[in-house]
Amino acid sequence: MKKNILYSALAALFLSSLFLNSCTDLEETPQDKVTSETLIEDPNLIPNLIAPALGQLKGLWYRESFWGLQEATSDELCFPTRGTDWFDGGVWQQQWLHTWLPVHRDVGATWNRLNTAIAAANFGVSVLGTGDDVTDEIKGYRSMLRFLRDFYMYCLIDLYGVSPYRDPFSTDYTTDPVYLTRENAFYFIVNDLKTILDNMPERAEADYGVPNRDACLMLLSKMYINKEVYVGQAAWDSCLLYLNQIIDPGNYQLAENYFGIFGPDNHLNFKQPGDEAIFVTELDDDQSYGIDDQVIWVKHTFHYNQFLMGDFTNNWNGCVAPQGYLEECWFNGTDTATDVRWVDSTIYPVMAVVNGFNYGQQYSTAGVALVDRGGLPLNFTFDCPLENATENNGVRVLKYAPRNTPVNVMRTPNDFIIYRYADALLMKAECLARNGNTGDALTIVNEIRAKRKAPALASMELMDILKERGRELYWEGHRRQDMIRFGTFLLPKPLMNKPDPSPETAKLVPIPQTAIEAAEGDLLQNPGYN
Amino acid sequence: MNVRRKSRKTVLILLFCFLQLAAFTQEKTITGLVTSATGEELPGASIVVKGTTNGTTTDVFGNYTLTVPDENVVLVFSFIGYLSKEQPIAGMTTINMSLEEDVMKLEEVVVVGYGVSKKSDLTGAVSSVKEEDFNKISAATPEQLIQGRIPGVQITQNNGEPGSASQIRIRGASTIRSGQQPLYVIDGVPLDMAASSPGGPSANGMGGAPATNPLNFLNSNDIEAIDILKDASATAIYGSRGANGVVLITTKKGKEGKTNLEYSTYLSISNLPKKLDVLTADEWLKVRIDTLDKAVDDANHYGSKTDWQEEIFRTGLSHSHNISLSGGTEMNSYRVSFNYLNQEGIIEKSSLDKYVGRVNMTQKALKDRLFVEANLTASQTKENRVPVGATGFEGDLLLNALKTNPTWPVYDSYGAPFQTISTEERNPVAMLEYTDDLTRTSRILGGAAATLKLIEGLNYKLNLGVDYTNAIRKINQSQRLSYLSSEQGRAQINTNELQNFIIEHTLNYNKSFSIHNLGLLAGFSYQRINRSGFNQQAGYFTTDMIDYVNQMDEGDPDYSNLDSWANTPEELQSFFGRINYNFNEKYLVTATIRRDGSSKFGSDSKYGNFPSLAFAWRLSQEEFIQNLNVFSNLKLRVGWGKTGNSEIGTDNSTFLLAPDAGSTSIINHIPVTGFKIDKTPQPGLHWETTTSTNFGLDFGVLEGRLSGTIDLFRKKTTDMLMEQPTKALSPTSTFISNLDEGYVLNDGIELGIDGIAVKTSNFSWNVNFNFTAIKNRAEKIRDDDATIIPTGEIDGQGMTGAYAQAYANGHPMASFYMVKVDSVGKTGRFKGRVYYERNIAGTDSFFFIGSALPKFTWGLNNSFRYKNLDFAFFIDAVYGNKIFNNTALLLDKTNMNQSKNALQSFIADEFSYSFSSRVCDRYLEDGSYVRLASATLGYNFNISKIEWIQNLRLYVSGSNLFLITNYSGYDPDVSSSADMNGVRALGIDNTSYPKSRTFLFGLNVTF
Repeated sequence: MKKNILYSALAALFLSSLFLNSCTDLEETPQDKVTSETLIEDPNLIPNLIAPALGQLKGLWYRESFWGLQEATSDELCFPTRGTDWFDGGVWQQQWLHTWLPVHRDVGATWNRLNTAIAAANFGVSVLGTGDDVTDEIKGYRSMLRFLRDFYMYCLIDLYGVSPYRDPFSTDYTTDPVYLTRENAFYFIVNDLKTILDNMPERAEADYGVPNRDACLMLLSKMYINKEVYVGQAAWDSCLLYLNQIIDPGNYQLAENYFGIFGPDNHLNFKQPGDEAIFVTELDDDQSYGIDDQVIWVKHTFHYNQFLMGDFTNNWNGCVAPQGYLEECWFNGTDTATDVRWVDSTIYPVMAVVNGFNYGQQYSTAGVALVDRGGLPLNFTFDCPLENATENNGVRVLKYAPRNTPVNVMRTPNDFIIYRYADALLMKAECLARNGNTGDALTIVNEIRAKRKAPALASMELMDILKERGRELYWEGHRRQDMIRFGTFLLPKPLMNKPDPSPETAKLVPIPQTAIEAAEGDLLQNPGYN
Repeated sequence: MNVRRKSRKTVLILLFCFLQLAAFTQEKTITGLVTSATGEELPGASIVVKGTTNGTTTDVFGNYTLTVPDENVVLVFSFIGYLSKEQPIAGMTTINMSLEEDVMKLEEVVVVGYGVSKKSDLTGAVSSVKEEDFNKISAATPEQLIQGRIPGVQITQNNGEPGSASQIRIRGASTIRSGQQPLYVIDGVPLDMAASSPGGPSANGMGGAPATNPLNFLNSNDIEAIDILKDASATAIYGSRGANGVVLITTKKGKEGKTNLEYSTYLSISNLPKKLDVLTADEWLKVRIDTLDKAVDDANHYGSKTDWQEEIFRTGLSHSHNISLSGGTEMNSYRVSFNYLNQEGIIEKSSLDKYVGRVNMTQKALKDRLFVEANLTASQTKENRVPVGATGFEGDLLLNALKTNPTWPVYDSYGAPFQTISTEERNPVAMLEYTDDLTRTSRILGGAAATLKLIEGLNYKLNLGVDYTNAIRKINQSQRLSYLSSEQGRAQINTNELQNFIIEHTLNYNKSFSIHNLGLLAGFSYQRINRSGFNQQAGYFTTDMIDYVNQMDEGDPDYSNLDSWANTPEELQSFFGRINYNFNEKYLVTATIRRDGSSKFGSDSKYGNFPSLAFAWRLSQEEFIQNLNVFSNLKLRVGWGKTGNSEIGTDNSTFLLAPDAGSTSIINHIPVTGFKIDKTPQPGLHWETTTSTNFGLDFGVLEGRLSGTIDLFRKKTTDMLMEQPTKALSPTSTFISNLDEGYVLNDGIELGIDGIAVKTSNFSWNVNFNFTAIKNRAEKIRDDDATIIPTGEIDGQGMTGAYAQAYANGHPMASFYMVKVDSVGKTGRFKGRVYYERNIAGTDSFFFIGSALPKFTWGLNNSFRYKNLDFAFFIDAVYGNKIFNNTALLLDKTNMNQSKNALQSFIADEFSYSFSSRVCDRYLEDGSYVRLASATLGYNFNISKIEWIQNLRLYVSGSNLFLITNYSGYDPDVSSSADMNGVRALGIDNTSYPKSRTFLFGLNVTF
């Protein structure tokens, strides 16, 4: 009897414990994420598939990303080291001196960002499939994703000379991708762009902020204008062919107000007379979208003690426009008294800074002369050494002026203009000049200069186009590519502590060490970096 | 029966309705003295009337008084480490008893995984610290009770903030990643050691404070013993979580036959042992004017003389009250305790308040076949925190107290803290006054276990545990702070909710067959952990008349931010078994196996097996050793085992998409949320494995007056889990995966010696010494010897991405890796070509310069007793480690150019004032120290005449009394969080909250 009670008690105990936990399969059940199946089931989520590939664009125009590698390595922008300030492990000096190594922070971060962006585009492509029995809208989205993939691949070959490629429909990321050489990638990209061109939405119908047919044409033009650099074979006529498809319909005009192109409400220019924007990435100061403090350089350049509008605080006294560039492009190239691109003081009464180049004694919005943190007058000089610069050294540039009433000083409402009309015109002038037609080239350049209230050039040589690009497109993320194409990238920059020319191999940045390691032998380092 | 006892009984009945106390009749009072055979009084010996629950214990002088029901009873005298004796009363009223020492004195019971073991039966490396050996300090958290006490266990306090966490490394750093914490098991419930305190990303340039200690919820007074399982033969029973060692915490329970009411309290005062020597206002002006040619009336010379350290540090007053009530009968026992601790930090406003209540009870039933245990801990801690912690270049409270211009006045003419319009110059007093940061953490840990005797020797046990934490952190930063004026203040409320559930079934069989002793264990365990929380943030408040955190809806809605999250539940399912066999108490074998499955791992490798095997030979049981008449104990141990480490986050093995701000696009001015591929599938993701081998020797000579343990070990960690770069065109740039070939080796020796130097009836002197030396190195963690894994992020202006440490093949973990100051010209320019970051092979400028891991550590404890007086002091020492003084880097003389303060020691040197600080060995210092960690003087009052008091003790103690070190920072026992990409950094001091020196006055009374 006793035993029976005992055994039934025991049985009851075991049974109850089985209710408390039956054996588990140990599968993860995510709470704040979804599996890909969930997402694909809902057709309303298609724009959410475009968003990741498009969203990666925002982070490229940042000092530690693609923009930084295109600008801080060129002659028109430098982050000098001021005491300890802006040393940052040497990354800026290395960019200026072209002495980067495969472990360079931004070389690695930019590679990762571009790779992630391609993967995001690939994923969207894989979800939208390949079949023809779909709506034009879906075809448009597919093309946009492929355009974005091609754009990121173009960024990769421009910097690193190599682009990985992976079949979008393969999601086993432990397998090795194919590493396309610059030449193979070139043909892959232009063929793909030509295939999707007619499925891309026309500018007239396209949404603002997404790539349209003109963006696709512009990227094709960029590919061809750099074909000589990428493949060793010039293709000026091909470039002209695509540029003319942008220019000839007359959808774009040069802006009446140069700095209006970049202003805080520049999205209002869309399709208005004087709209130059061909390809933009929309930004917003309400939300961070994960890229606080990354755009658009106001904080990077102005001094700690400058409070634009009285309360736009927290500036970091970073990058400057080097003296060598100022002398070449401005003091010997144009009339700074009339050229609106040099100084436009419209915003000065509110912000105590000017659009364009800021130099000399700086004042507060109340008109009080500012001092630096050491108590010396805050007087921006034209000269600036690379190392041990003072807080006053260097001319500061403002292109994307902040809003009068900032919502958040770490963010920006200005949309970033990736490609614009003046760039297309200057590319056309360049192709004409390279084909020997300097007359038509001069006409185009003078058309732009007239809009910018700069005196017309009497004659021109090819190098004048590079100088004009330096005046028109400064700090917009084109300079390194332009200088390489015009053969000036490796030259010494003696006014800022770079007395020696760089080796030929510096035209490519190294492939990041982490990428070399992860590729396990499939990816060879660029020459000069081993 | 007196009134007092009756009322107590009433309380007990209310608390435990099943509790029964025997009634008393025909009372008779017996008194006497209990001594050892050598005449030493035995305090705390137990005297029980045989066959009843009626009993008492001796006071500190060995005296007892016991009321017995009648003359025909037998008294049983017992004491730990002594043989029990029975004595019939037979008409006597005074019974003095002398107890024989148990020859081996080895019957000490040690807690091991899923059970207890006699110390003599141990085959693995296990260290046990009992309550009487705890550090006698005002310890807010349990690990401070054993800091420096145990060979092979290095405990580093992160900082001196009340309630701060510690780094505990058992037998060296065995992995690269951050998951280096041991597993904590409290009365059989494994804890989830996720930080319970919500993070607080804060105002511009002021990062989150370091996490506080998840063990804060325990009351140190409730802890009876802390046992540490060190080698794999001991920890393998915890399988995938045993690689970093296991800390078993046993709480106090009621004891049969004695009803105790204990009250203990202390009052302590703490202060800063030393200030850092920055320039005084006069010195500062002299350098500025004489050396730097600044004008006397320079705009940055404000005319005051302020010692900013003086303004933020204070003498902290703390007090603690602890009351406990315990007792029991043959059938049941109980213990109830309540603790209140109020600890003031040595920085103004910082404090910790803690309330902990605990109930422990046991009950036997079904004619002793069923044994039920239950316990419940409920705690609430309230931490007032100050803005100290990781910083942007503007600096935290401490850095600003060191670098702020000493000519600034503290307050302006309106009586408010003086501030300039600059956002990067911060008056530390303003930071203190205008910031409120309060964290309340409520935690409930409940455990219940039932053991059922099935047949003789075979027991089934069901163990259930629930651990629930809810923490809320409210941060209020006023718009009066100049650096927050543009966004008009900021408020944050962050919460965390953690839930941990465990159920375990075990079967235990113990049987002796003549000289064969067998113990078998089989078990199943299931654990689930859930974590979730939300963070709210708001800004742009119109008024600060009301705390922002109480009016967050009044902030501008455009700038408020809400973020909620929930982790994928973490599940762990395990099967385990153990065999203990000993032959004639001479040859001992232990074999264990655990099969662990975790939801965190890949679909192809959910389960891992963790075996261990250990042998011990008790030489002292052999005749040829006994004939030597030297050893009272001699045991050889050999052990081998495999354990795992699964301390990575969830969602690392499954293909998942998550809404992501960085993937969100704006189209036609409308944000479109992007789903980003968050994790790619990793079907092969599995445990990190540590294989360890241990050789140990336990010995006792001079009749046990000198005893000790020596262990030699090797730990090899393979398959390390690390964040690694993905192959190109993966949606993520890194992923967690197992490192194929690399491994980390820890070779070490541990020594623990206990000695009784003097032992007479009036005077005794005990000495304990421990020593640990561990050699650590990483191998093949990189494909070639020329590449490194950087970590040790350095803070400061122009230091983005700068690091001070590297992991590389053939080097110890957390090796310092940097340029030497010799290669930096004294003008501040590097000589030659500027290559700041070169890999090892091509290096002409970067060097490995020492490691943050010490070459050896030792601890020495001396305790003396003379009659009623006792005295003990404890010395703790660390040798051969380096510390990177990030604080000093931020206080270099170049600050003088920016009207900021600098360290006196830099001013005198030959470097120029425009010297550009770099991560270099100028700031790398020797972290060795010898510390008088604590000293205690106590007095036990002779209260044998007062019937209702058993024990009364007063004591004075001091901690961190004396420190010998070359380290120039506040304290070398420091570790700021400086991990990069999940890679562990150690030995970096970045304006950590300094450790205090504390004097404590305490009283313990037992009724």
